Amino acid sequence: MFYFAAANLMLAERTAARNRADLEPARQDRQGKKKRMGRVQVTLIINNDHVAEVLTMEDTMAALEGTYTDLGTHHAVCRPRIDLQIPTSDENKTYQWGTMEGGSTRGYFAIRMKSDVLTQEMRGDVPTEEKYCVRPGLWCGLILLTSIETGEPLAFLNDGMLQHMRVGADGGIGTKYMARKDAEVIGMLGSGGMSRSHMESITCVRDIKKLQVWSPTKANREAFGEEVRTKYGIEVVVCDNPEEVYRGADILAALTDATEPVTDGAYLEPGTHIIVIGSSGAPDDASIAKIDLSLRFGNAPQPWGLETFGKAKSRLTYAAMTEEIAAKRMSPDAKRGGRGAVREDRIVWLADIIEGRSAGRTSDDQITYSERGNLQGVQFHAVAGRAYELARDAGLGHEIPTSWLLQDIRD
Amino acid sequence: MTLFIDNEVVAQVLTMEDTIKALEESYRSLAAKESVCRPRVDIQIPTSDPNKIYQWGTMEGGATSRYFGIRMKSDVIYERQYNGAITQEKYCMEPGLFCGLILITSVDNGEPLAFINDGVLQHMRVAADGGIGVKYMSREDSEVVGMLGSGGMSRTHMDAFMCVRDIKKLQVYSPTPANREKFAAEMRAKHGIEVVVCDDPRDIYRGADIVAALTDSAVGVLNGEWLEEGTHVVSIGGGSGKADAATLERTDVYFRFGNAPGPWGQPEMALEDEYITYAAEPEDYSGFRMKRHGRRGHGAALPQRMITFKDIFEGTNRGRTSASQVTYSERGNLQGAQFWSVGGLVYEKAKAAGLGHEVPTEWFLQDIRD
Repeated sequence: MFYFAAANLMLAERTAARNRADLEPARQDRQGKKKRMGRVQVTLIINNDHVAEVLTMEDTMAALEGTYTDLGTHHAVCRPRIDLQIPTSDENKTYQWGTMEGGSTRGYFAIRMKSDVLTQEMRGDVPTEEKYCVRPGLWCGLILLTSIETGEPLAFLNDGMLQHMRVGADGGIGTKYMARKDAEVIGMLGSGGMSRSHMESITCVRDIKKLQVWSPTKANREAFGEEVRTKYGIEVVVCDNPEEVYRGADILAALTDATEPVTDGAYLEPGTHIIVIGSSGAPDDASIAKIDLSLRFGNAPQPWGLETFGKAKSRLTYAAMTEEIAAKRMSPDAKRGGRGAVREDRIVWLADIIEGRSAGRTSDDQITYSERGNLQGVQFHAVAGRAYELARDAGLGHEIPTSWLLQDIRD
Repeated sequence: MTLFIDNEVVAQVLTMEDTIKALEESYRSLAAKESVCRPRVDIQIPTSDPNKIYQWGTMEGGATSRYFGIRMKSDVIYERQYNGAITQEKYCMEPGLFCGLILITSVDNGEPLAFINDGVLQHMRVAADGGIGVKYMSREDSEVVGMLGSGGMSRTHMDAFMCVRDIKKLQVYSPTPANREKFAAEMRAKHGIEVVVCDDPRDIYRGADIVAALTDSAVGVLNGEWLEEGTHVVSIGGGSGKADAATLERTDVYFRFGNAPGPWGQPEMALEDEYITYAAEPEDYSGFRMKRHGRRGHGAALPQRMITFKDIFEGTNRGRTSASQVTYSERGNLQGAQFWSVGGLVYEKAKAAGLGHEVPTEWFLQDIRD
């Protein structure tokens, strides 16, 4: 199994980049250009450092709660994720393009686009999915943000930082509504970027006193433990076995990109709230059996006149392959189709809790779980919209003339 | 470097012949499952002006070892009464400007290669489809074109028809006399053919081997009762691109290039629809008679008399079997198959010619994995 690479530049490091001198040229460049270009309309290209500099976890959580509420009242809309998988000239590699879309009457629309080459690699005897764009270590994830009032293409944003923030924020929102109010111990599997963003979001909503963490590489979990001690001033126990993180944990967070479930329901204690992210995207069967109550943020609406299209699936994948080739080459991720592992009668909806129609957790002993549902599409306009406003006001981002993206020919 | 390629560059490098060739190859690869596309998906969101709606739309496709392309449209749409007819208008930022962008990536390494304005390419690809329909379905000795409409689509369709048939004569009608006269003069000069300007739409059908209805009218303009034996019909725009009942009634062979495949493992979700739409506040706008609002796009018009490229490439049905048959062609919901192929070609040619604005590709890449 592969945990979110420590090679990923750490959130903390990125955040520390706020005052780094190497951001200065971008800012000066922009101010200089402003003078040169006069009132020329520009579209911003905002990178991860810019996002890290301006976007806080509180902003992200507020933006997401707002958009989930809007979706419930139909002021926002999104569609399920759609992927295309196409063979490359290397038979071990498959091109994957994926998009998510959504917007709201509050003012923004966004599409998130991912363009990567996928490879299946064995780590020990476990197949893991690796990906890159252009060359290993680089990825292409772009958000295009537009104005729904004018159609204007406002900005392209790299999605890496925002992606970690929004996934972390979802964990925080789930914790906020489902964990016990007195939750103070986190048990964590994984010590990569997602672990960092979840520490940020969970500490926003609960008074956390202790972290118990395990990840496969000792050096990584030790480094992460030290970082959390320093940043949050809480007790951190670095565990030598995954079972240890469950003991006394009020929140269990499995934050890996393993393709198989990494949780083990046998060790779950009563009252725990569970968060699972990553390629498998679901807890193990034993955990699922123990879940008393599962929070769902919502479901993507159905398209006009097609009430059954894409229902209950978190994504649709179109493949440029015959059936035989697809059976060999399609990534397991794409074959999987959907999540929604928990029994329907144990699901509570975020809108019902916010509007008081449902209580959520009703006892301290309940084991709870939260999952977003196929709402990814509605996340980007809200969070990217906020990041865009903050970056624009701070004078950050590269600029291209908006006129490059417009034309005087109507289709 | 990632290129930003504008319409002028596209017009400079892309020929109709190349467009037709690229599209035929794309449809062949789609039938062979070497490429893929999905139906168009739109998002509609009300603006703060109750008479205007934001519309975002995308089409996607790509081919093994070649290119992937997404076409994205970002516009504000509204309705306007014009000469008693309701037309759909749109703009991006200000009237007269539109946002239609194609992003081309490399299937082999994922690299974002180019953003291309879609205006010229859009007209070329639609006309090329008309030409492909004519190539496979019209009589080989077709030489007279009857045309309704004298705008941009009429110009590109003439280019396309000239590529595939030895056209000798054009009969054209459009509502504004000055426009049809100007168009006729232009076609005479450009193609060196006889052009008859008609004062009555009825006249364009007489003796026509190919009838092309090329308008953006909100209502249909074709009249199947006037079609003569052996005519091939192409229709875009008017009445959401669907022919009138009389034309469909008289059509012997209906050539639909194909249907977008269904998603993997969910064949029940294969759609014939031209597009699907997700809308915010759908309830509040159900009475808003937007051309594309609250309705599904049409699918296969005549399934019983339909043949597709798969039939042609596999040799099971080649379409027209007699000179007296009325034939009809339309693309089907394969728009997504068009942009990787034509856009990829534009990218190659623009790059080779050193054209287009350059932006560092690193701006679109990152060192954070999701």
